[in-house]
Order: sequence, then structure tokens, then C-alpha cells
Amino acid sequence: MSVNHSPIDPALIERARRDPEAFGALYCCYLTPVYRYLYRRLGNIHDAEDIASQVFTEALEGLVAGRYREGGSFSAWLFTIAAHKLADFYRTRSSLELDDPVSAETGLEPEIEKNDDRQHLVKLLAQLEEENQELLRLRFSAGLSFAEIAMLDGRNEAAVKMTIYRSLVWLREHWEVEDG
Amino acid sequence: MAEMDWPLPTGLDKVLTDFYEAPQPDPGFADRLQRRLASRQVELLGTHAKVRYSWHSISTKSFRSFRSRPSVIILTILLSLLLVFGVAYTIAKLAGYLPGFGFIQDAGKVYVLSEPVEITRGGVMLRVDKAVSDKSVFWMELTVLGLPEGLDSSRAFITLPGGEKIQSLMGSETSSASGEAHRTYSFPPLDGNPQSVTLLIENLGGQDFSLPLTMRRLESGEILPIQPAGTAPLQSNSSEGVTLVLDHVAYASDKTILQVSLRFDQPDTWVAGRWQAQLTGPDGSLYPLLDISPGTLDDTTRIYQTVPFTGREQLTLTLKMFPQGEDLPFFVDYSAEQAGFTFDLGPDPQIGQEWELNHVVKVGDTTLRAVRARMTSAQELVFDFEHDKAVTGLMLFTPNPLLHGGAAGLTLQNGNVSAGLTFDKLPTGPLEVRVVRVYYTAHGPWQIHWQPQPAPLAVDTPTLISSPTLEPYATPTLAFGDPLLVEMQSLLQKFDAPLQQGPGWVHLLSETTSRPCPTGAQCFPPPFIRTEEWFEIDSDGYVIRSVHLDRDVNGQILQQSASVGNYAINFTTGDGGLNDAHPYRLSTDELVQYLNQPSSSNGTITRQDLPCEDSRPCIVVTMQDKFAQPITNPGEDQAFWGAGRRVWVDSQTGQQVKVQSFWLLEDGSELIGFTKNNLLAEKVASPPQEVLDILAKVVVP
Repeated sequence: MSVNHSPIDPALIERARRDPEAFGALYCCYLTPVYRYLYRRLGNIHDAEDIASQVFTEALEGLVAGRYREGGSFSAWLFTIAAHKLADFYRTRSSLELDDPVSAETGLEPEIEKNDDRQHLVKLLAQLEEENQELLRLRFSAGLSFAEIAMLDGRNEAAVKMTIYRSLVWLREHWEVEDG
Repeated sequence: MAEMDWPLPTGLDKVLTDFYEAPQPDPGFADRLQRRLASRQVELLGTHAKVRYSWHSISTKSFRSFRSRPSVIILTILLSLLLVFGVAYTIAKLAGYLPGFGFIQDAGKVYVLSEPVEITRGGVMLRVDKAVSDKSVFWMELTVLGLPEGLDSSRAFITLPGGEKIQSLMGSETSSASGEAHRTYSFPPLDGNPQSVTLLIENLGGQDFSLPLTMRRLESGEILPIQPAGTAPLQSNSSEGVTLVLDHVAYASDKTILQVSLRFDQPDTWVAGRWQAQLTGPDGSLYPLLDISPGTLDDTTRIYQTVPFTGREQLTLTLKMFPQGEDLPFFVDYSAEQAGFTFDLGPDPQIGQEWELNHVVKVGDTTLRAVRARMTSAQELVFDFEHDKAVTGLMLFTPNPLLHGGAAGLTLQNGNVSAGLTFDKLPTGPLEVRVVRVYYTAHGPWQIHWQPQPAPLAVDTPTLISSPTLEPYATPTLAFGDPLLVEMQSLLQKFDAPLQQGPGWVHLLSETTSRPCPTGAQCFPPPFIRTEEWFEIDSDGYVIRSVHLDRDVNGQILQQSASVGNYAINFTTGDGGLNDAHPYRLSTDELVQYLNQPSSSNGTITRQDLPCEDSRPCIVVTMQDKFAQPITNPGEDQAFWGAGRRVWVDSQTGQQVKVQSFWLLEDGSELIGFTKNNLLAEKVASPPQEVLDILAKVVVP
């Protein structure tokens, strides 16, 4: 798996505070990773769109109001907002949905994942600790660097890297075994 | 793969990549959100136009002002309230406004922090200022000092006496230039008697903090009681299933607190945009509504702070949207109904193929009829629907594994609506199509006519002008001696100096043309805006009042805002608030502020001597940044490789006569974002009566 990760020019972030076009450029860079990440957490398009709208609206208002600290990681800041919005979302959901271990906790969508290989992968991923699944989502759906994940998750970069590495090794071993 | 040499077999690598890198956001959604964000940013910046430097959210402001006042003052006000109204409340039955938290219905079941708790470790000070526990949430507000710069990756928990550890559901932070940060955390409601809990914050500036909190029951003097107690809320007429409600009002000697909400006849209804309330008097006076809604409220409810009233005011509360005015776009989520139809694509669907359909779908009380399907590309199907109500869009879904996304549709010329489904690869055979969301527009006005109660203590009528109290902001000096920067700064000062010398009024006029919105009529900015601004300058050269008017090509007002001292109000959206800005001198600068910033590594700045359109000698300065990677906007044919700004400066007068923003395209051409022509900058003794009339309607908090 490869991850494209290009740092965003700090000047663009600074301009985005007061220039809608610059914010538009940031939005275009980040919409897809934020959306993909939210979709993998939420498992359906309309909730992912709802939360993505909230994330970018809060990011915009935060930038204009000066709540983003210069010198920080914009990606990590944006995904911190996403984490808060997700937490808010789960809080307001009914207990029935919260208690659903498949759709809410693992973020895997039982209806959509019917393709054989995908289904196989989904089953394997569901056996990983939620914490490890989250690291994979942040790395491969959100496209965050190890350093950014470390900032988000409160760990050191090496630990993040090693955990992701171990998850992939585990997936490889079980993929091959079950593939026969 | 190279960075860690991931040992993945090809099959797993591919399926992992496909899994994590899909789906892409639907282009229709991406486009609509982008336009909404652009509109919101213009709205935010427009409200704050010419009121500079460090706006903080109103709620932050509110927290600060409460914090800076001893609680004994609030207590005194409330005690006097009780005396004035001669009402003896039983705390168990008391409902009211708890500052910083919101309205509570049963104060007898609410617990608050006994006293602030503070800890300092490793140069970081953490103080819990407030905590409230009610049946819906455990909420707290903290002050943090000395936190190192950089991203915060801390996590907050509450531990109960039995050892149970509960993680926060959400949090927020606002920080000031002084380094003082204010945070809130919300946790799930705590069962039972939460008299003793511990706040644990892990990894705050690299350290863990643990603070025991002692909670006690809320006392009667700590809330502003709802007045009059027990009365039914006032509400507007119900139009198309939408009602504006004035839920609660609490009066204090120095302010009035309102809770306003939207109610929908149909469950699962949400507003598709940001709504505001506006409070006006019969003469058009615009009262401040400072949004002090805590983060615990959902988007259908707002809490506002306004001025104290004499009791003689005849007020009107109006629901507003921007730029829609009194139309309210909303949607109803029908995903739980799983209503839809089965559509058979056949074994070999072709691009351009159309299918005539006749499938009736009932969602809520709306009847839709799918009349046509089109295969518009190898990945997209678009469905047209007839409808029996004022439907403005639909969102579709299919439980097919190849589904990539759904596009909320558009209104067609024949009144039908279309909506699309995109796929990784178009499926064949039968497809279950569900309608998960229906968009409508309800038409206002929604108004509540209301006569407030007098404030509990005698108050003066609010004044129209508040004198600036902050120290004036010093004009920045040049950071370095770049010749172009020095030249442009010198020209700017030459042009601005006569305008800055007070007292008097500065009148600015400009016209801006922008790229039209790709689709939809309700977007901002429109292709043409004529902007007129008036600034009153005091004898020291500082701006004390201003009016900002945006008009369309026909001269109709699109947006109108005003500022008085450090208070600004947008008449169009109702948005308003106090800011922490220092008094400032007027500047017409749209160039030097950008030159004065460090440029990016990919940035270039060029200077050319060229005649302006009226043949005056001009200097054209072009600043452009190339992106680290091309960016493709939804719906655009070409990727953007960079962005820039170009300013034409009259080399004799120093006026920045034209400003243009542009995108750099892959083929080397430019796509113009907006072009602003500065038509007039004059200094006069007084403005037209129209401008003074606008300012006279501003009631300053």
C-alpha cells in the first residue's frame, strides 16, 4: 500500500483565513481523505457527508477565528475536529445504533461489502483491535503521516509505525493462510 | 510501501488499497459544500469587514465576561430579581439560565462544581472553572496556561469513585494571543450522585493531569429564572411544517437571554445551511443578538444575549438565512423507511442509454414518481422524478457493493428533480434504488411579535455609540527592506494619508465581478457586486463607525452591515458581535499586507510597469504560489496548479485601482476568480442621510 502525502504550504493555510479561494484549495486537498475516513468510520454515505460538512464548517470558522495554531499540523488539526464530530455523532445516536457492534464500532458496512476479497478483508479487519483498525483508517483512508497520527493519538511516531506494521503483518499472515 | 517495505502480497495490497481509498466524495456534494463554505466565509469576513484583528467567538467572549465578574454580582442581580418580582422560588421547581451552560428545566437535579480546582505542573497550569452535571450531560470549562505551541493530542476522562473511566464525547478550545486557552469538555451524563469525581487529562503538553472535583447541588441564586415562569413559549406561524419558537427568556439588569429554536412537524428534519434570528423594533432598530449557544446544543437551537429592555419595546424576532433571506432550505432523512423501487439495467447498459420509468415512491407525505433513468457515463446513473410538493432535491442510495456515491439532485427546467448514483463500475441487472433524503424549501417569513418584560433594575436606554476603550493598534512597521515592499508601502501611505486624517467620513466605492456559481441560484458572491463603504474617522484618525453595503447589478441591496466601536452587526444575516479589536486606522491596502508576509518556497512576485485601463501609468504586482501538487475541483475540467493575486497600483497617486485573483491551470493559462475595480475613495464632511439612518438603527449591546 502506498500513501500520497504532500505537506500543505503554510502560506496557503495562512491565506485561507481570509481568502475563500485559498480555503477552497485546502478544501479540495482534504475533502477526499476526510470523507473517506468518515465513510470508513460511519459506513454510509449520508452520515459521512453530514459529518464532513460539519468538519469543514468548523475548520473554516476556526481558521477565521484564529483557532488554528500556526506551526501545528493542519491535517492533524482537521482530523481532531473530525474525531470530535464523530464523538458528537455517536453521542446523539440512539442506544440501538451505538450498541450495534458491526456498523458503529468497526465502521464496516455489512450491506455493501459483498465482494469476495473485500468480504475476506472485512472479516480479517474486524478481528483487529478497534484501536488498530483506527490506525489503519487514519493511515490509508485519511492519508496521514505517522507523525500526524502520533500527534492525534498521543503516542510516539515509532509506536504508531510499529503498530501499523504489525497489523499489516498479521493481515498478510491470515490472508495467506485463509487463501490457502 | 517503500517507506517501511510493507510485506504485502499483491492481492491483499490491491484489496486494501481499494478498500481504504474508496469511496470518493460525490461531486455534487463536494460542489455544494464548497459553495456553502465559500458563502459562509464571505459572510464571516463580511460581518467583520474592516473590523480587524483576532475575532473570537461570541461564546468565548461570553465566558470571559462571566469569568471576569465575581459571581457575587450575578448573585446580587438574582436576589434583586426575586425582590422585584416578589417571587419565592423553590429550587426543586426552578427553571432558568445557567451562565455558560444554557437553560435548565429542573434546577433541583443539577450539580455544579463547589469551587474552582487548579493544578500546575511542568509550567502548565490547568484550572477547572465550572462544571455542571444534569440529566443530559456532564460539562466543564477549564483555563489552561503555559501549554507549549503545537497540536494538542490530549484526551480527557472522568473517573468515578468506583474506578470507572469515562472518555469525553467532545471538546472545544479557544485561545488568545496571551497564551491563555479556554476549553470545554462534555461527557455522558453521570448516573446517580456525582458529588466526587476526578478529571484526568492524558498527554496535555506531554503530561498527565488529575484533578479531584467536588460537586454540590445548584443553589437558587445561581441561575437567571425564566420569566414569566411556567408560560407557554411564543411561536411564529407554522409555514410548510416549520415554526420559529421563543423557548425561554431570562431577564437580568444588564442583559436579556433568549433561547430560540426551530421546530419541524416532521421528525428527522434538518436545516440545510446556517440560520440566524434577527431582533428588530417597529422603527427598524436592529437589536444585538450575540450568539452564546454552548457547544452542547444541536443546530436547531440557539441561545442569544441581548440588551436589557424597558418593557415598552414592541419587538419582532425573525428567522433569517443567507443568502436565501426568508426561504429556509431543509431536508428530511427518510433512510429508515427504505422506500424505493427496483430498476433493471439489463445485461449490457450503454452510455447515453435512457429508460422510461413509472415507479411511485412515497416517503413521508411526499409522493415521487421516477420517470426516467439515464446512463450519463460509465460510472453514473441519473434518475428524474416528478413530485407533488415543492421538492428541490433528492438523495438516492442503493445497497449495491459497487456503489460509489450519491448526488443530491437538482431541479430541472420542467420542475422535476434529478438525482444520481455513481458506481465504481456500473452494475448490470436489477438494482434497488432507495430515496434516503428529500430536500425542500419552506417559505417564510417566520416572525414572533413579542413585548419583553422590563429589566429587573432601572436601566438607561442603550446608547448608539460605544467609545473605543482599547489601546489603538499601531500601524505595523516593515519587517525588512525589500525594495518592492518599500515602494508599495510608500505608495500606499501616500494614498491613505489624506483619508486617515480626521475627523470626517471616508467613502469607498468598488465593483467586483466573480466567477459565476456552477449551478444553483442561491450562491454568494453573485457574478457582480457593487460595494459602498462609509467610515467615520475621529480626530485622531481612528475608525469609530462604518457601514458596508453590497448591491447587485440592479442596485438591490444584497448585504448590509455596520460597526459601531467594537460592535458589528450584519443586517442581512442577523450575525453580530463584539470583537477584541483595537481601534484602527483605515487602510485601502489590498497588496502590502500580502507582500509583508513570508512567501512560500514555491511563491513568486513580479513587478511590471504597465498602463492601467484609463492609460494612467500603473505598476502591476503579481504574486503567485504553485501548489505542491495539482488540485482538481469538483466539476472542473482542468486541475489547478497554483493560485495568485494581481494588483494594479497607480504609480502617481498610489491608489490600488484594481485587484484580481486567479488560478493557474495545467496548460499555463489563468482562470480569473474575481476582479475588483476600486472606483472611488473620497473624504467628505458627512455621509448621506441613508448611512446615518442605518447607523441609527444599530442598538449597541
